[in-house]
Amino acid sequence: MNDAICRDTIASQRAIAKEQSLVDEFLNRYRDSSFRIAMRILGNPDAAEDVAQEALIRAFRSWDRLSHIERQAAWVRKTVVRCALTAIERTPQHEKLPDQVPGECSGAHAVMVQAVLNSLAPDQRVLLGLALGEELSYREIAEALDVPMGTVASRIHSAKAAFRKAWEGTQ
Amino acid sequence: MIQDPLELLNLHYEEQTRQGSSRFENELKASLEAECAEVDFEPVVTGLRKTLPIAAAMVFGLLTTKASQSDVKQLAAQIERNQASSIPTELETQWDDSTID
Repeated sequence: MNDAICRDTIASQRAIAKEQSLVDEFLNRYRDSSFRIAMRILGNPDAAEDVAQEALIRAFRSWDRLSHIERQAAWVRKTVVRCALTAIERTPQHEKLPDQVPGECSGAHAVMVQAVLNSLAPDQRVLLGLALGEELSYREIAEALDVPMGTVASRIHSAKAAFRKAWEGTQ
Repeated sequence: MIQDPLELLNLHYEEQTRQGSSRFENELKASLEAECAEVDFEPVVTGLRKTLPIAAAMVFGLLTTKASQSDVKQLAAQIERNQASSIPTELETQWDDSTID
């Protein structure tokens, strides 16, 4: 057997040890939300898929350390955010603006909105994506970002103001 | 005409939500199906796709795009053996006629 099948990873040990249903359940529960969060932050579906996959694998490896569903969800969100921010750091500046925003309903405004989002600081994109896109509570956002809950509201306010200002700069 | 930029941003997120839910799943399935298109799972293990979705296998590192057909069959056979060993069957508890008086 070559290295295409990774027997010694935790995931493969679990799956082969009759825990396929756990893998299935995990995937079904967090796949879509992980991709969405990555997409909110990165604005690029290909990059979002890569980040979501990486985050799911990392989160799954910590699965049994998290006893409650709520904690699992928070852990997955935090992992996606961290992976997305790392992806942004690794991306060369000239590649950060997508040429287009895919999708049947994408119009000129969608391209402009994404361009404005991409002009913001990464943490502001994260805040807007989690607060407006995912409609998470301040407590959930604080957990995802490892920041005090008291600072979340003011940061969201600043992020909204930054978006508004950047948008108006394009008009 | 929408003037509020935050309203446009919300519409943008709503559009992402509509697109995103199916896209990631479909992309995963498409890439995995393409990779495994020539593998005939049926003789190896019936119901493999039901018990261990190929997407999950790929996502969690059981299979990579480098996996050959023999790798996939070997993994499937191992999963089948593990599943079989966890379910008591008549074959494993042979009826012993000699115990009948």
